[in-house]
Amino acid sequence: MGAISLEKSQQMYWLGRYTERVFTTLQAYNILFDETVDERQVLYDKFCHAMGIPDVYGSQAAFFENFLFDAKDNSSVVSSLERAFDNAVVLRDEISSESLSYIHLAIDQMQAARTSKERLLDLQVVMDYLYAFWGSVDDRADSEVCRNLMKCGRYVERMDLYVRLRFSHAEVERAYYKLRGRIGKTGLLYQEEKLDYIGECIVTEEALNENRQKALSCLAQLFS
Amino acid sequence: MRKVKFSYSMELQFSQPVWQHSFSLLAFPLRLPEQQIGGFSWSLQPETGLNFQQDSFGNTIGSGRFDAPHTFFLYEMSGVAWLSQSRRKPEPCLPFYRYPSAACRMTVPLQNFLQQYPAVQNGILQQAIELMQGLHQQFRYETGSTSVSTTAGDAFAQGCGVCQDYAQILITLCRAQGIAARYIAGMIFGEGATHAWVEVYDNGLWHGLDPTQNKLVDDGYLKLAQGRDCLDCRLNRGVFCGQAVQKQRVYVNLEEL
Amino acid sequence: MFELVEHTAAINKQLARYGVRFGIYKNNEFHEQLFPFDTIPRVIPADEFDFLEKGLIQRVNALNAFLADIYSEKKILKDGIVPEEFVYSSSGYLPQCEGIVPPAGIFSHISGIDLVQAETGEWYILEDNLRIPSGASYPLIARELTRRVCPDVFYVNKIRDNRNYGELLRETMEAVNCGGIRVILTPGRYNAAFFEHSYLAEKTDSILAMPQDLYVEDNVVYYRSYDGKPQRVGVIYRRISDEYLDPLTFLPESVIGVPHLMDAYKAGNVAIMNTPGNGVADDKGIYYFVPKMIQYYLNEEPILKNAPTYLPMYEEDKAYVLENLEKLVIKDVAEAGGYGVIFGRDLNAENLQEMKDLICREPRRFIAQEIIYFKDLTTMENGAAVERKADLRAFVLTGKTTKVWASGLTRFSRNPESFVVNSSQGGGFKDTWVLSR
Repeated sequence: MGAISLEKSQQMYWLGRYTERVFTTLQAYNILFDETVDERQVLYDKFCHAMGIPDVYGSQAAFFENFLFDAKDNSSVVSSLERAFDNAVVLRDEISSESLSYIHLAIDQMQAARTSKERLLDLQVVMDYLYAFWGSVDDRADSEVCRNLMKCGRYVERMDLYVRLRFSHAEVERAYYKLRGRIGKTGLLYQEEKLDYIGECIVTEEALNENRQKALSCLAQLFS
Repeated sequence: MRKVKFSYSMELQFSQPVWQHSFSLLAFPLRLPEQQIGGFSWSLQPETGLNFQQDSFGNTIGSGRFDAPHTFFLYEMSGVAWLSQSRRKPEPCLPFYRYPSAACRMTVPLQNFLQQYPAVQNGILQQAIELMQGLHQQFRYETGSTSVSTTAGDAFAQGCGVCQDYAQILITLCRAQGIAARYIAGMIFGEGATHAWVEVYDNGLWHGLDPTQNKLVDDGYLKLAQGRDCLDCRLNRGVFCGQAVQKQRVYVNLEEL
Repeated sequence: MFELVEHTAAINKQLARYGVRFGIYKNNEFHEQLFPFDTIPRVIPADEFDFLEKGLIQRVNALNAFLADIYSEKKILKDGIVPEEFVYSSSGYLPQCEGIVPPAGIFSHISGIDLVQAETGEWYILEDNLRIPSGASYPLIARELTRRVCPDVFYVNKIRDNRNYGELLRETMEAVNCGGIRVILTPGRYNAAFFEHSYLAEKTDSILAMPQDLYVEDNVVYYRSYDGKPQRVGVIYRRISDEYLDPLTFLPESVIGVPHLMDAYKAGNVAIMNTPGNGVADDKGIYYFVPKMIQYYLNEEPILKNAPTYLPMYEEDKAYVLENLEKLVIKDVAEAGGYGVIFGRDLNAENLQEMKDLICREPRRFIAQEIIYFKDLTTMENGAAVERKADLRAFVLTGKTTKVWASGLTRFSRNPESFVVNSSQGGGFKDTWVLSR
């Protein structure tokens, strides 16, 4: 019926951010985990630092377990997934029961991964569900505003994590263009000059390497 | 008949700005055959309009809202009235006035008190007067000993209260004997606070009794609101957003012209 | 239909996937749990449903007539059919609603009528729920999911489709819409029935709103839109109790209501469904008088029976109750949700005497009923078929006309001894099949 309250618009934006956060941190987790196959010891504390989250894990083993599954750790993947659910469950009428069901599936799958013998494969299924979720929202959320707000949230989160976690310059650039294209369609008030400045910060690979912190702080102030 | 001048003001001070403030005001003189109103005016600060409706008890309710942050709220009204009890007209009585309401429920001590007064013998009004006299003897006036949420039973148990408590206890006693009774919020001669009293229904007419002063209502009483108990007659109601402490100041004046 | 049993695991997986849960509070903490679903449905043959349908429409029409009368002329009281104290002592009666005529004159738009089938096959009305009856969403989604798992069963059995509930509800909302958007008002995410609120919003294409999303200006309700363009609200299907609806009219301490909502409603600018004040007609005491209402307002004989009920406030009934307490069920009029229900046969001599004293002291607080020996329904428990008590909540919708949804919520007790089948007391549910021939 077309009307969206302020609270719902926030929930849409954060639903986009949290689902992206789960997806991208799982991707990064996979890469980091893969390094342990050759190295045994990896610098997980550097990962925490880059993510901007406190290193509360104490050991590599604890990190690889708790960063995924510790619901009491606000930085964990499962916590982000719970936050995604909190925002999704109140949006059933906007995103549809079908879309919401993929979040339920992802949560149950996350549980299953915890005790699985092939953990990475089970986590891959979590990511599959998130892809299905986004596809479902694209098809079933009738409101364009809803889709725009969710995507805007997704791309803000993606930019943030890609820059932090040193994804390739090409990927960062692609995320930036997606964000640029989407943000204007949301009706949200944002600071155009900050957005432009982020563009300058990432214009070349050299610029990106020099300006990561500047780009991140501009991104954090985009809506202030 | 008496010609009177009345005024009422209610001021709210908020310790912090409040916003999205919705309010309902009941402080308008009732328009009745025995209470003819002339030259009435009201004002609000900050300035805003009011929507008027009648509630089920016959009161006029003025509703409004301020969305912008504010720390001050003032409602004022004044006017002239001709008061004459002899001009009351018969009117129907809504049946719920014969039944307990939230603030007027029977308790064991009230039941025991009532045993001294066998059921209605010499007519309803006379019975109500006797109950009023009995209550007045037993109950003590004490400012500040009760609050707006004190029920008849609570007040009776502690043995003292203010006009609201006298009224609610008398209402509870009357209803327990099958007498329809209602709560009145209004003004009496002099300046200061609002007053509360009781009306009982007998033979088509509502009769006013003032248990605080132990007397029948005469042409020196101006009615603002009526209802089952003080909860129906809250003269100002409001809800707002903000973490403010509110201070309320009410001033009323009724004088003969 | 028993072939469904072997698909239980698959169906439950589907229910989990769609988050078919209800919330409960344990030690003040909110938990959501799956509502246990039993795959074996209750089956109602076509002719039996036709009979129930007629009886339910009749009953709900009489209840609507009663509500309209109570809040206006009160003829039924004046004619002495219902003692007035039953109305005015009821906590569901709201004097604030006196004289208000709701849009299209409808009071109970969604009525949840609870029935049981006795061992003899006869149906009895157990209670009427005219405030915010919940539960329709469960059989609605269960049907959808079961059809996916075992399509053949539905092909062979010729079952009336129940997936039109959203459409029926939407029609019901539109029948009273005062010009504006449709809103389902939920107290919030942590309400026991939040799943249902959000699911019905989706199925009726309505906006799911929290109280703070709505505001009233000049006696018109608006939905606060994020783009600053307020949308006028024409109908509110509210899932918030009367006393919390509007803090300026009802409980002043309510923080979840919409201030001035009752003003807008009184001004005729918005429909509230169900209408505030309906509680006066679904009181356990008023129940006794519903067959009399049917005769009084419709001039018809009641089609569906009440369970034989006694009111201790009548001397004759009191004598019977005191004499036969061991075989009766006693209900506290003020309690809901399966609480305050006491079976005489469970009481020892001492408690029995206490109960009798209590009844003599507060005769109006209780009603007593003959125990109906329910027809048990087969239910699966840990892989074995067992017999369990079950009731049926029928959903009756009143818009332009009164219609009965060709399904319903069948709740069963998981305790073989218990006659109480309330979901808040740990029961499960079944789908209800109405056969088309």
